[in-house]
Amino acid sequence: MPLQTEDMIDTLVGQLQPTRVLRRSVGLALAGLAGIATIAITIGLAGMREDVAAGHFPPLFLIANGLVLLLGLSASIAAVTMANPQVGNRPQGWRWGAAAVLLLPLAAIVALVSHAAAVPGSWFGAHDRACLTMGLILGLLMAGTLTAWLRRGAPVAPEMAGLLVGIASGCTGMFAFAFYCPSNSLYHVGVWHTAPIVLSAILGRLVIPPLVRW
Amino acid sequence: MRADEAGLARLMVLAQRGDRAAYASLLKFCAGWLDRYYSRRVPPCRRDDLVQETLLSLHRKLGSYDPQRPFIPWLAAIARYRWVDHLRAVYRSDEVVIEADLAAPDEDEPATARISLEKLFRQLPQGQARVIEMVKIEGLSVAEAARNTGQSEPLVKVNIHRGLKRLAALIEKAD
Repeated sequence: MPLQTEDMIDTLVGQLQPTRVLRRSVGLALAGLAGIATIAITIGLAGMREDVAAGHFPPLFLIANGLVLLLGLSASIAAVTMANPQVGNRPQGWRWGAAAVLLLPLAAIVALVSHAAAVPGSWFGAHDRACLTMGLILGLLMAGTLTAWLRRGAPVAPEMAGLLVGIASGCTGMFAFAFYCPSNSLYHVGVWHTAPIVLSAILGRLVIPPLVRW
Repeated sequence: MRADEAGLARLMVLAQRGDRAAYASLLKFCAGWLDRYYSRRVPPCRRDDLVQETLLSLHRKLGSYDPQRPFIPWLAAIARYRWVDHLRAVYRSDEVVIEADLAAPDEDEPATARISLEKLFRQLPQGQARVIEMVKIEGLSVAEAARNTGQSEPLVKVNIHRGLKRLAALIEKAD
């Protein structure tokens, strides 16, 4: 072994202190708390849509939010897992969740083209803009939590980590805001409840990697 | 020293608790393992630097090892990350030569066998792989590579840059 390497090992051994292990369960708990806090903040500030508050859950609300929740969970788990590097163990489940969520805008487009759904009064109205904007803003707490976790860990694929943080944040923001958004329109939910997730994924892929490189 | 996965994981857990003797043994093993890992991937003039950089990374990210999981794949992931960094530096500077032993990797190290250069080169377009091998591995000049392949000199340079960039991306994705 070269002398310099031996010297370095001696130095590193001399600097060793007990280290707090980065446990995946703690990361998942923090992500879960960020998700719950986001929903609580949304309902506390904006209120809850009347039908859901009264215990009546429209099918589109359940299906769309169920898919968004599953994608958000799988992306969060994958992002947290990336803090502990391991060759041969990269989570892939979120890809199926993403494919399932993309069925929503696809269904909206097919329904519109085949005249199975009413043409919306506006393609990008004030309500659409509100969901797009709030979906993005409400994802910030999750984005911050996951980014901080990854910075403590050692993600070895920063671009993928950024993409996953973006998807998880967009899903969290949109899932939370859906408790306020009163729309039951397939066009609005299919397009404008998935757009924040796509946009957040792109932003995450572009913005997060430099923050988690080490 | 042959890898004893359970023993290494035990040493790592002790190191995470602050046991210096265990940490010294572990780092010595890691230095040897990394030296073999990089011997097939980087030129000898860069190997020691890369081993030391990786040991430093390991030290900084000691807490990212999950005691529930095997140790070698964790070390391999960190080594690969530093190797990608090195390839990116080659891609940016266009100065360093990659030296690769394209023989089959060690059978007793499946974590490294997954991402051998030979496998990765097969995923590059032929034009890019050929000029990278000629210029960055065999040490030919750009003009010689251009003559041998029939590519223009600017195209050889473009193919080397694109190929190295793609190589780095392939290594990151390889599992």
